[in-house]
Amino acid sequence: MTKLLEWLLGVSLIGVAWGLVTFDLLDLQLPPQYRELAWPMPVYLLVAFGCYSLAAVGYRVATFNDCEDAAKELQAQIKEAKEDLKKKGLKMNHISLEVSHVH
Amino acid sequence: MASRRGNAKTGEQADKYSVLLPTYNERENLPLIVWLLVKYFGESGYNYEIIVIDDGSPDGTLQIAEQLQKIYGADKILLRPRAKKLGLGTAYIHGIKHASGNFIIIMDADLSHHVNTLPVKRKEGGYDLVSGTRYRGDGGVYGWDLRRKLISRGANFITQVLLRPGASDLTGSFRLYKTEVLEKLVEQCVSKGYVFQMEMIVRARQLGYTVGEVPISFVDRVYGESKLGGNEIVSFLKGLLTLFATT
Repeated sequence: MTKLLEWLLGVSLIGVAWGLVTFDLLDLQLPPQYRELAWPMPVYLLVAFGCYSLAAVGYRVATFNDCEDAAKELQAQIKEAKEDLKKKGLKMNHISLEVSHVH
Repeated sequence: MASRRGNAKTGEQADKYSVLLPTYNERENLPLIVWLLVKYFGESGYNYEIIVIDDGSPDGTLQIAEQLQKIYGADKILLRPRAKKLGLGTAYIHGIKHASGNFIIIMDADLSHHVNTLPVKRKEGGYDLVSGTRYRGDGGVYGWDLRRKLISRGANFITQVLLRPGASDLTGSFRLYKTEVLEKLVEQCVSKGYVFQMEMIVRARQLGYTVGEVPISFVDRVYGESKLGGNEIVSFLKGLLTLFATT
């Protein structure tokens, strides 16, 4: 089953459950509190998911590692590589490699 | 085809890693990549070969590759060029045909990492596939501004929600595969470009292959190469939705 179908199935199931409770489709005579709680649930869930998404992405951006050491190490290795390759006879017009700086 | 690699499966010492390097106009990056690979594989003692798949680069990449072959030996540097730019998937198929290793490492020619972290992790967990991730552990990036980080994390979040891929970084292309696993996956995957990389991991999970991860430091080597404009974002979303609907 594709992810799309999984989602459609999940949403349908939740939708049916919500519809059954909110509109009392099976004539279950549920207490009114259930219906009052169920009715705005879809909106609540969407808002809750939206907040979670913002928080998660915000947190992940804030904790995104900056690899200063790796960049320095690479700079040093580029130098070493150029010299070593020249010694070994590599002929190039120029090797203008640089680690790109913060844009 | 399995018999060709039959000997390689009999013991850990017999493991061999074939690095596939599809190149297009990488005249300047290629020597550095090769130098780093030789250095790290040399230090770690792993058996390896590097297969350069140049798609007819007009900047002379192939000539540089030939010089590197003279320096490091034709058993370590294999040249399997193609006439013109034919795309990543076919480059992998082409490379696999000439690979003698039982493991294949793929990497973009403009990235550089400690390549030996991949085999080490794989051995630890016996994985079918090991993927480099920027988002976990001490993985990370260098020189990215807020905008780029936001887009990257945002896109990854959407990807995780929609595809639940079981891997933290889908758009990376620093990976190690068991050769037969890569063969199987390339057969199944139909997307192009980096969506192809995403599809590989999604399909791998579906087929029940085990996926390990290692943190990697992504350092942009080429000055100013930031490809996150509006077009990129739109095509990413299109690719993501296609995967969502078809996998």
